[in-house]
Amino acid sequence: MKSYQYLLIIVLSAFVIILVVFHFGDIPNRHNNGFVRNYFPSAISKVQEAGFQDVLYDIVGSTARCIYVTTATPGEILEVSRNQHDGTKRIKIPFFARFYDSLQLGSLAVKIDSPYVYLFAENKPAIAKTTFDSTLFEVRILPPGPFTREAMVSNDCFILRKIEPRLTDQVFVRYDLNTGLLKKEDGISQIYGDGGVVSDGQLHFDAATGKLYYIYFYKNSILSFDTSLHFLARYSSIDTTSSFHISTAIVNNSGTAAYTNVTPANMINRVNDVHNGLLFNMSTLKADNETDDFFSDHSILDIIDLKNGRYLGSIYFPAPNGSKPSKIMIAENKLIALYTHSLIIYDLHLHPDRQDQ
Amino acid sequence: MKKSISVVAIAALLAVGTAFTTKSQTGGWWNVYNPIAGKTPGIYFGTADQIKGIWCPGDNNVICAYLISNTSVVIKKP
Repeated sequence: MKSYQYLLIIVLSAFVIILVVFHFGDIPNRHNNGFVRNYFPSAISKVQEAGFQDVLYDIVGSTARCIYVTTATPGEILEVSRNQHDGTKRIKIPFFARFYDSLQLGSLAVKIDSPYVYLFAENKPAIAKTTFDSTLFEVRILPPGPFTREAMVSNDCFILRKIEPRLTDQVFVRYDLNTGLLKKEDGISQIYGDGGVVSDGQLHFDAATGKLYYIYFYKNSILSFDTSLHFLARYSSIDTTSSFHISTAIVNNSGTAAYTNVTPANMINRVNDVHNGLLFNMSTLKADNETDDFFSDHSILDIIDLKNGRYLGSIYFPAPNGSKPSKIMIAENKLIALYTHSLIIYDLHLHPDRQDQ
Repeated sequence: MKKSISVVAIAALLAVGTAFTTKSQTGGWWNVYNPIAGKTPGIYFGTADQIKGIWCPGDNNVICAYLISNTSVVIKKP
């Protein structure tokens, strides 16, 4: 065989190898994901949009009259009226500057159950309770171990996802602000020993069913348990991603050791909320019956019946300039979608027995 | 001489192939953290530190790291 033939074979082999690597690479949405969506017809209509110069972080509470949103400015909350003509009010959290400095509250989450404001100092760990009119200020220091998720199940009673130092992982606990009692779960969470990074997700309480739901970010599992921390059920979101799409390990950097992701964190369930026994979940995965353009131009919420885990259908709304909400809240037949610089409210007209097929 | 040419040709081919693969992946991936207005979302490749540096800022509420040196601290965004 002549030398140029060897060269040709090597060149072709290199091409084939590159094509094989490209074809079988783990690239989300490049191949079919193995599920289809059905859509509820005329299920959603826009009623209000408010734009802001601020960077909006989170929807931290709502009433029949307004919606509370945190911004990139520490200690500041926007009170966005549901009546467009009333505009938006800026609120400073009472005592914020004082206890933020003195307690060194890092990773602070806020929840508002008007008139009460709860501040979750996740790394301290501590919970502070105050009121808009500054007549109350209470701080509770929790046992060691940061927490990362919190859901209010009744006045002054919270379910937290908290580090259990013995396990180097997070478990669910119930904390009563009045008594200071903390109860740990038994057998709800699977333990991976990486500080809870791989099993990170979102925790919701549904007042209608009295149950809690934990939706994993990186796989399609949904856990259901009650306020006494008894495991109830495990469901799955519409897609077929049954294993974690992220890997974690210890990384050492300048003398600091940390558990973090060592592969791209491929989020599966991006944002979600529960309401009246229904899960509204935005998946990052395109259904096999959707085009690339449709999927990138719309935000799609899959609705799952939390009584039995059955997929009921999906709703969709436009993604302005290609951006999708960083947070959603379902309240009083309304969908509230939060973007970096805007908040949009939609009316929901859901009839779970009717879908486009 | 022929061997040198072969090695150079293969190296060039691999470089082109790698660039092609990376470009295609960037266009096809879904970046859940920093969607770019008006463009197909992309994803970033890099070492763990680079990924953390790129992915931790932003408005999504995910755990980026759990520091275990000295005191235990969870790094979460925002």
